[in-house]
Amino acid sequence: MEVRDTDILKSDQSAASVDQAYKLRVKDLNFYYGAFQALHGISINAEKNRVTAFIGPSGCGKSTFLRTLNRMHEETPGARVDGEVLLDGESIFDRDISELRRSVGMVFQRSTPFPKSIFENIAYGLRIRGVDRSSISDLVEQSLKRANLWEEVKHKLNKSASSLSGGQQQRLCIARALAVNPELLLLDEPCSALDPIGTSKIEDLLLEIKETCTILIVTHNMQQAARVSDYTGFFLSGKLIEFNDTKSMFETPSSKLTEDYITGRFG
Amino acid sequence: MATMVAEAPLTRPREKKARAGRGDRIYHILIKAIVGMVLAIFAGVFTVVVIGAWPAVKRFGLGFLIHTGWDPVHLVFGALPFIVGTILVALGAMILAAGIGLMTAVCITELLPRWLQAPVTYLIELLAFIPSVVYGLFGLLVLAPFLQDTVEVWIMEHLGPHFEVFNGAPYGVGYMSAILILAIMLLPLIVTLSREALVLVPRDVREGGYALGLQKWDVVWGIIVPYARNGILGSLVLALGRALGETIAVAMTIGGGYSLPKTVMDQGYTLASVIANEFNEVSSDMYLSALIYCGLILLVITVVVNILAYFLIRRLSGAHGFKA
Repeated sequence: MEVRDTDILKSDQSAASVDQAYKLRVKDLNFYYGAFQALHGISINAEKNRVTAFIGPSGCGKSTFLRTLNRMHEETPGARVDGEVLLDGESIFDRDISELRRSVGMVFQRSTPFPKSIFENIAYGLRIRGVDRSSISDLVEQSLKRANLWEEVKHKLNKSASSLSGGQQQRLCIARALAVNPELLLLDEPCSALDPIGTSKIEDLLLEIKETCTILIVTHNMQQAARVSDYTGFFLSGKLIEFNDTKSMFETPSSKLTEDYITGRFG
Repeated sequence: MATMVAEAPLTRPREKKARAGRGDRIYHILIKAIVGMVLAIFAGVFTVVVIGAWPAVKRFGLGFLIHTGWDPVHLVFGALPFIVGTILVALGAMILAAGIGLMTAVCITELLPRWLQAPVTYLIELLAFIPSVVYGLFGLLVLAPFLQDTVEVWIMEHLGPHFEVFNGAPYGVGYMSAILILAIMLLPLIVTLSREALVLVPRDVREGGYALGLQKWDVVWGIIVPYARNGILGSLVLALGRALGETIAVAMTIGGGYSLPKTVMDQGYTLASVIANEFNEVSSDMYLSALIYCGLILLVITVVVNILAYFLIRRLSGAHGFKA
């Protein structure tokens, strides 16, 4: 981590050029639930159009970290954050929260279709946002295609979303997030409730989406991190132990803790 | 795993297994007996009511349902005003209580800080413990005089000349008092049960909405309330059952009257309250039988409404599959 920071300082002089390379920059982020400190001085830079994965044992703070990036923690009473989170060089805490959450989409561990039809699941957010009535059905189709779900659901758009399989529901949630064209997509263990087929469909999908979108994914599955991500961060007890490109991370981890974790000695 | 399951009974002593079998059988018999008893009680009540109502049923037939007029001296009876009264009072109270109750439940779960949620819920639940006769007294001694001096006078003067339905005399007691008192009595039921349905909406669904950048209002009414729909409808069904059958509080506040209501301030009776108020004055067997016939109608209405509500909820949950 520190190595990367100094790299940046050497190669890039102005903040502007750093912002161009990095979609997201986090500096010294601390997170508290009441008196309990859940995250300790997290600093990280996420590259544009890349998949960055966060691994670590349960309760290590990786999900908490992800939830601060679209300020979802503000829905939890007693949660408090200090530190800097810059999206395209601008602090996310200065932005309007609704507008921020449209540029930073999120997909949860349990698929969360709304109690509406497949079509409405995507259209609802668009309509509230004031998207033109005539372009809504085009946008719905487009988003479902981007989420590789269109072929499976195009004949039953008016059916309830709960009639879909778990994997399809999760892709519907991804389509819903994509419909508003986010610049950053956060995925919190999106495959933990899915079977291997559903999982591999989502992993393929992530590799397609990253063409247009920067992706941060939390996973407890190291093989998944190795398969889909370009960069990987390892969290332990609220600290970011190591952050590196995925290949080096899994082949030559620099920290003993990382090595122990990825070789299965704990966690 | 499979072998473990198979082995477990073998290691158990034989007599213990036999005893467990006997316990099971006794339990089954007991449970069936209890269920049978409950059904028998319902059948018994129904039979007694039908037998009691039979003379009136024979004499007035189904015409009882569509005739007005209540004359114990000449033995001319028609229950239409009471049926209409029951439906109007229940409907009016339900509309008020459902609107206010759902808003209150949403306010508790979505707007109040967590430390305030439990005490506020408890205070509203307390409303359910007040005996209905006390509500009746409150309606008779506090609410009715208040309405008589303020609201009803205003309505009569300002709305009366323009709308026939408001053109009544301010008696205080009457449909308006009964509807308001009943609405207050339904509130705790609707608030507590809808609140439970709202609380059960998974956090992920809630946050799924916020994650799209939706405002609280849109998340609550577009996602959370629809998700909790079945539980909320269930609370309304229970409240409706109570609204149709509530007796003493309505009897004390509705004033009494045997003709069809023309204005919101008229006095009248519901099926339940006419039985309560007239039962002590019964002067002939046919009079008594007519009152029991009213009870039979009420019983049938309640059962039919509940069955319809059951199918409504089943259809809604079947169409969308979201159980709350």
